[in-house]
Order: sequence, then C-alpha cells, then structure tokens
Amino acid sequence: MIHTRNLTKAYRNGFSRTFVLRQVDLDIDEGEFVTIQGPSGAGKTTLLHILGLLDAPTDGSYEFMGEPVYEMSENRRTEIHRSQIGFVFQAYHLIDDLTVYENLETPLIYKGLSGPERESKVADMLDRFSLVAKQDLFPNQLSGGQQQLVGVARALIIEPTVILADEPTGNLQSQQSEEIMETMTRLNETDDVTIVQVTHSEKLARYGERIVELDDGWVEDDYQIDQPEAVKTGH
Amino acid sequence: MLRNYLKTAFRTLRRRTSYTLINGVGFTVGLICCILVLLFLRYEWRYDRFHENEEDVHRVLRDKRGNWWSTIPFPRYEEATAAEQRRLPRALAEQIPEIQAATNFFVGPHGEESPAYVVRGDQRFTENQLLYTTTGGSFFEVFTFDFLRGRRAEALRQPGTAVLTKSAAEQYFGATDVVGEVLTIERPGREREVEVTGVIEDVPPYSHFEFEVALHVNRIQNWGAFTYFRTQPETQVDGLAPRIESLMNEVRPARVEDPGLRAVLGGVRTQALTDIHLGPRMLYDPKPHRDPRYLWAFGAIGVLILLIVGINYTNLAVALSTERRHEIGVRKAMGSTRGQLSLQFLTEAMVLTLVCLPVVVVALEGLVPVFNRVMDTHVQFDLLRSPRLLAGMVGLALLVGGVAGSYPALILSRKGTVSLFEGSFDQDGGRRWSPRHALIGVQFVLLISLGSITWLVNSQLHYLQTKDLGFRTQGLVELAAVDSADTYRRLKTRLRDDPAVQAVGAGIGPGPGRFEVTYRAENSERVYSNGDVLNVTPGWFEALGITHPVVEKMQAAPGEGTARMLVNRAAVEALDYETAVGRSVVLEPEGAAPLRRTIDGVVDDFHFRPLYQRVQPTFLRVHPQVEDMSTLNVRAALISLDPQNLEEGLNRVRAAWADVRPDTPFPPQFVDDQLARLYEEEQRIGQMGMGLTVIALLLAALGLVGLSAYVVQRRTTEIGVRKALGASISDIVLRLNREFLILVGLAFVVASPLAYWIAQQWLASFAYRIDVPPLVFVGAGAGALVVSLAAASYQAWSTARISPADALRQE
Repeated sequence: MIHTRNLTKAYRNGFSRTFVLRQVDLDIDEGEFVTIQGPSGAGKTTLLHILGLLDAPTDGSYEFMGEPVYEMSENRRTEIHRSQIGFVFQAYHLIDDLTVYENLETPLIYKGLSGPERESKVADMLDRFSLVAKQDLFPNQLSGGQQQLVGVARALIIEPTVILADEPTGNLQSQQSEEIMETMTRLNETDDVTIVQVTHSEKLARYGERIVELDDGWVEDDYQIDQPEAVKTGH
Repeated sequence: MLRNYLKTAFRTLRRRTSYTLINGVGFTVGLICCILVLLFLRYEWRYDRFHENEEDVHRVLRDKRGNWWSTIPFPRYEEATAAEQRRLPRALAEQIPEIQAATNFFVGPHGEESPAYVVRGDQRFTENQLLYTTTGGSFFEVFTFDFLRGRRAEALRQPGTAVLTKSAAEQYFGATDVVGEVLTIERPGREREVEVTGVIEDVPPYSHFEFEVALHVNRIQNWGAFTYFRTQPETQVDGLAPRIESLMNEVRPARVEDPGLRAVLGGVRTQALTDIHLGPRMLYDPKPHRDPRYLWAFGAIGVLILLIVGINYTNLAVALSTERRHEIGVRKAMGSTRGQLSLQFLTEAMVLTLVCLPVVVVALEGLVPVFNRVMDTHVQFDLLRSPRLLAGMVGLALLVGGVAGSYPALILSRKGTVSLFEGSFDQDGGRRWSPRHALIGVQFVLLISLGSITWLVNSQLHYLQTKDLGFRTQGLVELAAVDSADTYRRLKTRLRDDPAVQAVGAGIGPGPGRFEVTYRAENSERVYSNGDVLNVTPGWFEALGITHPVVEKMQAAPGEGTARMLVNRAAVEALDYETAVGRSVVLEPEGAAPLRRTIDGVVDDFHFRPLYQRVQPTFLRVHPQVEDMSTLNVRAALISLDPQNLEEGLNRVRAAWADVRPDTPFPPQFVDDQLARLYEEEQRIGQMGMGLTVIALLLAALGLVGLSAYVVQRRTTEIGVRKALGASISDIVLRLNREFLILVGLAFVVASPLAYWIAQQWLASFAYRIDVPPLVFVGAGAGALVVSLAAASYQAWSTARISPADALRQE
C-alpha cells in the first residue's frame, strides 16, 4: 500500500542543500507493523510526515494505495486524512480545550458522520480502551499514558488503513510505554491495521515485525525481525 | 460541526483570561462607539425623510450677487403685499403641470427678533416656533404630518386658522381635542385671534424646521420665507428651474424691467428637501445645519476605532497561535480542511463579539442620553421597538468579529502542517518584518495623527473662547426683549442710579447676525453686500467698553445733537478711503431709498460676529437718544454690571424688567454665554470627537500592551539564553523595545504630515485661527513612544528579571 521510489527531501540552506532523506525506496504492504529506527536527525520524522501526506518530498515518487501522491489535490489528501490515515504523536497533541469524549469525536466530525453514528463509535472506543470513566475529563487531567491512550483511540476511531506513530511512547515511562505498544500490536494483529512507527528505542522496535533503519537520510537496513539477516539493502 | 466550533471557542476564550479580556474590552468599546456613530449618522441622514415621497419635495433658491436667498418677492424689503406673497406659490402649482402643490412658510420669531406669545384667557406663553404660511392647506400637501384631530383637507384653509402640535395643544389647553378653540397670537404691536383647525403629531426633531403652531396668515411679516413645492413622482426637477425662473419674472416684472436688479440676479435653482440639512445654512434657515464634513469625520473615527480593535484582535490572535499551533496541526492531520479551520477561528472571533453585545446594549442605554445632551440631538436607542436595529447590531457584531478574525484565520489555516509541529514555529515565518509589524505601524500612525489632531482642535476651541474680541464681555448682559423706545427709556431710568449697574445702552449684542446690508463708496459704482449696520446709543459703547471721541462728546451732552455715523477699520478698507472722516457712504444704494451718510469717526475692528468670518465692514449709527431710533431698530439693551457684584446686578436687572414689562417674561442673557453658543456646534463636535479619539487612543494602547506581553512571552527562551550569556536587564529591555522604536519613528514620519493636512482643512473654516505649532506632532509622537515603551518595557523588565533557568524551563 505504500511504495516510495527515490524519495528525497532537501532544504535549501544558503547556497548549499541539506539532505534529510536520500533516495528512500520503501514498500509497505497492508497489515505490516513497521518500525523506522535511527538516531536523532536521521530523517525518521520527515519520512513519517511524507508518508502521512503532511509534507511533500523534494524528489522521487510516492504511491499511497496505488495513487501517485504528487498528483493528489488538496481535497483528496484531506479525504485520505479523514478516512485512511491515523496519526499518533509523541506529545499526544490532544486538543486541550476539548474533553476526552470530544477529542475522540472530532475526527468523526471532520469525516462528516451523523450525531448518532459518532456517539456509538465514540462509545465503542471509550469502552475498548477503558476510558469511559474519563470521558468528561480534559487532557491536562490525565496522566501521560492515559493521554496517549486517547491519542491512539483517536487515531483508530476513523478505522484507518494505516496508523502512523511518531515516537508514540517517547514521553512515557516504561510501564506505560509497554501498555501502549501492546495495544498497538494487538490492533495490528486482530484488526489488521497497518502500523508504521518511528522510534529510536531498540527495545520498542522489537514490538514490530519489520525494522527500517535510517541514518543521515539513507535507508541503512530493512529487515524482518524474525529473520534479522534476511533482507539487507545498502547504498 | 458548528457546535464543536462553538464549544472550542467558548473554552478557548474562558481559558485565556487576559487575551479574552483585552479583546472583549476592545470589541465592547469599539462596538459601542461604532454603533453610537452609526445611530448619529442615521439620525442625521433621516432628516426630512419622514415626509411621504420626500424626494419629490424641493425648495426654490435664487442667486443675488452670488449668494443664495429665499424667494418671497419683495420690492422693498418687507413691503411685499399679501397678494404679491401669494403669487409665486400659486403660479407654481397652477402653471407648471409637474408641480402638484407649492407652499411658503417662515418660522419665527427669528434670531434677534422680539419674542412672540400665545395667549389663552389669562395665560400667556412665550412661543418661538410659530410657522407662518400664506398658502394654507397646501402646506400639508407638500409636507406630511399626521393629524390627530381635525382633517388634513380642512386644516388651515382660511387665514386666521391654526394647526397645533400635540405638545402645543397639551401645553395651552391640557388636551388635544381642541379643534374649534380660539387662541390669541401676540407679537409686538400686533395681536390676532386664530381658530384651531387641527392637531398633528409633534414635528420630529429630525426635521429641518420645527414648529409648535402653524398659522395661515394673509401676509408673512418677514421676507425670509422659502417657497417649497412637491412634484409629480419621478419628475426630473433639474428641468424645472428655468421655468420657475420665468414664472418668477412674470410674477415680479421688476426682475426683468429694472436694469439695476437684473444686474445682480444670477438665476434660480432648486434644492431637494433631503439636501437641506446637510447643505450650507441659508439666511433664515430656522435650525443649524450639519456640516457633512463633521459627519465624515465621525464616520472616519468610528471606522478607525473598529480598525484599531480589529488590529488588536489580529495581533493578539496571531501571537496566541504560537500556543495553539499543535491544535491546528492535529486538526489538519485529522482531515480538517483549510476552510473548516478558518471557520473555526472566525467563529471564535464572532462568539467573542456576540458575547460582548449585551454589555454593549446596556452601555448604549446609558450613553445615548449623554450623547444627545452633548450633541443636542434626539438619537433614539429603542431596541424593543426596532427589531431592525437589533438585527443590525447583531449583524455589525458578526461583521466586526468576522473581519477581525479573518486575517488570523487565513494565515493560521494556511500554515503547513509540519511547520506547526516543529519547535521552530514562528508566526512571522522567521522574517524580521511581517504584516504584523505593518499592523502595529498603522496603530502608531493612528495614535500620533489622532492625538495631534485632537490637540489642535482643542487649541482652536480654546482660542475661540479666549480671543480678545475688542470689547468687554465680562459682566455684560443683553436684554433682547426690549421692543420700544418707551420700554427702553423706563428700563434705563430704573437702572440709572443703581450702583451694581455700570452702563446701559440701546442696541443689540454680539451674535451670529447674518443679515447683511449693501453699500458703496460715495464716488464708486461698485456695490458691496457684506455690510453690517448697528443702531445704538452712546450708552451701548460704554457698556461694551469701546471708547471714541465722538461718543464721548455725545455723552457729555446727553440727548442733544443729531445721530452720528462711525465705521470700523474694515469698512474704511472696503470703501478704499485714505481718510474716512468727512467722506460719505451710501447704504442700500439699490433700494427704494438709498441712505447717504457722512462718516464722523473710525473705530478699531471688534469681533461682533463669529470668528469664522473676517470682521465685517460695520456701520454704527449712534443716536443721541433712543427715541431717535426707528421702532424697528429698538430691539435690545446692553447692560454692563459691576464685575465684583454680578449676582446682585443681575437680580436688579431682573427686578427692573419685571417692573417695566410684567407682561413679558424674558430673561436677561450674559453675553459671554451667547458668545460661547456661537461655537456650539464646534464645541459639541469637538467634545464628542475628542471623547471618541481618546477612546481610540486608549484602545490602541491597550492593544499594544497586550501584544507586547505576548511578544515578550514568546521570546522568554531567548531572554533566558541571553541572560545565561550575560546580558543585563537593560540590554534585554532595549533589545525588546528596538522594534517598537523603529515603528514609532516610521509612524511619526507618516502621521505628522497627514495630521497637519487634516487639521489645516478644518482650521481653514475659521477666519481667525491658531498657527499650527510643530511641537504638537513631536508631542504626539513622544506620547506614542512613551505608551509603547512603557507597555513593552514593563513586560520585558518583568520577564528579564526571572532567572534564566526558569525562562528556559518553560519551553
């Protein structure tokens, strides 16, 4: 479902160009759980933003669900955000002025669902993530782990084909981290949601089934965890 | 969707108290001012529009010597006969098919004339609003007034009939059911009984003429009546003027036959009823007109206040967006379109303005009466009776919110999602100068120009009040009800030996006096029309503190000799005499009886008329005693009181008057007050304009304070880093102020010439005015600087004082 060829992102910096991504070729199929790993500044977040249609590459091609992204109109992208892609952020990015319930409801409003439909979906989600008791609280009344749980629920509520998670547990303590990661794994396994997560933690990367290693914009490595040596790419 | 927006909007506003407060105060005050201005403009615009098909009503003006005058034909001043007065309106209605009806009227007593009285039984009422017409019922065909009693078709049909307004009827009779009752109208030397034939609703205050009693008379005693007519609907009135002119020539053949008259006549034009109030005030127009420039000025101030409020909101909303960038980013990532985001920000601004609206309404309830008192208007603010007003206010609030919110909505929704998540987010896109700076610059331009204009207007108003007029006004009292030599003589005898009274003289006091006489030099054909004639006794000079040897000689031998003629320097100049004494001047050279007078002396110019105009050439006819003056010229007495003993003196004058004329209650007036009234419109407009300007200044300052607070907050990290690197507090304060310093400097360069130009436009309407001191602009610039520095420095200082560790931790 995600195919990139030669994906490059560069910024003009005075007279020189700074490369963030260099000729990234990436193929992710539906149902995969991919971890993009690498040191700080390797281009992980930029790659995730490009995959999530939030940012545009400088060069190269990207097909999302068989559709060339650079040909998409603004409206088409918005539509994809509404129905196909769920984001989970390191800093949760819940809307401070909305309650848990309302935060979950917001994407459905953008999607254009009717009131009763929204109600039942939000209720499902609250149930599933055991957030019913917290539904009327505001984000700042929750712990970090609870906030991220809401973040994941919010990403999932539109029933996306892919969840893009940028360091979803970066701000969490280890126990909370594990809970979140287990939730994500479960989603991947039972709901068949494609998950692409970015992290620099070796330990959390193990939750996925495939690891793409990024360094200085290059894809250094791309392998299945079961057979770590199977796929090797270089430049 | 809207519910979600509203919810977010309310919560955003509730959580950010200072932001909401600054913008809330701004919107509230801005809306109050703006609605007040709109109500005022609507009030002025509505003038004379309450008549049916008001656009079909016009009046006739004729040009004589380049001035426009009313149209009662008068061969010799007031001597037009009843038949002559009736001819023109009758001919208009009968001979021009497009004209349905024509009327003439005069509302009096006017200006310096003696008052009139309405007498019923033994009750006597002073009445200054008598409307005289010779056309009877046609008056109500041209103008629309609703009849409460009597029928329009039968009202005023015969001479000697009257129509009362509701309040007049209630005042005289205590009831409105008074058709058939009889009243006596009394003016000096004349009394007549009139029968009431109708009672109408009160004339609305937004009519260019007001009256309490309309009288059908045979002859209007004053030539200042205008002729009005109503055309068939959709008549092109422009084409009528030449036909009206030829009718006027028929009615009064002298217009064609008399070469002298023909030489000075310049043609005829019509003026639409709805243009009268905002046009120049013609001689004998009964009410002050409104200079449309002042309306523009008010409108401009209203717009500027909204602009300031809008800029404040924009600046703060954009500044605040730093704090909200993640929310915007998340919403975008969740599939919000740009339009939806814009709508959300617009909703927020509109919610804020709507929330302010109840406060605005309450405030206006209290302020409109104050406004009316200051402006002498009758602006109404009655929401319950005017749903359109309410709808208009809601609409305006939404508009203001929408406009104020549109720039933030536009630029915030346009931001790339990624940039919203990155730490380096900066609403100016990293540029040093941005549209935001332009907006602040505009604020400073407004601060400086409004400030200096206010200062200049104030100085001129002060100048008008304090300029040396060339005569003494302190303790000077005018009694304008003196109407005969006998009255004056008895009054003078009563007051002669009173120690509290210094001098008594016959003659009018200073005032607008727009009546002008024509004159020419003894051996020139050139006729001037700007002369002023004053008929006085020597005591008049004494009361005013003006001395002249001729007058002193007359006072030395009271009551003896003949009348003398003094002129002022302006007259000497106009006549172009090197030595004026001994030469003569011809007054009213084109009239039936030109007066040739020898000049006996020259007095210095004194400002007897408003300071808008140059001192007129003035001809002072000094009569040895009041009995030598013609009855028409005995109109008032000037009495100078001992300044140490004003209260006592005034009481003596009151008592004397009550003795002399117990039938005519009329209060003596201090000349100082009368003079102040000359500049009433300027004072009113000045005060109101000043109030609004001060509000604009405060709002601009408020916005700057709020903005600098956010700017400083945004740069807290930078301040922390700089402190960690060893910057002192003053370094930091200076650095944060540098932006403002540059902006104030630029604004000064733009605002000073602008303000100078605008102030000059206004000052040009006064013949006597202040010089514009350059210091004003420097002062206003300095003021703006102080406001901004104080605002920014306080914030910068308090932020700079916190420890670098705290400053850095906030990030």
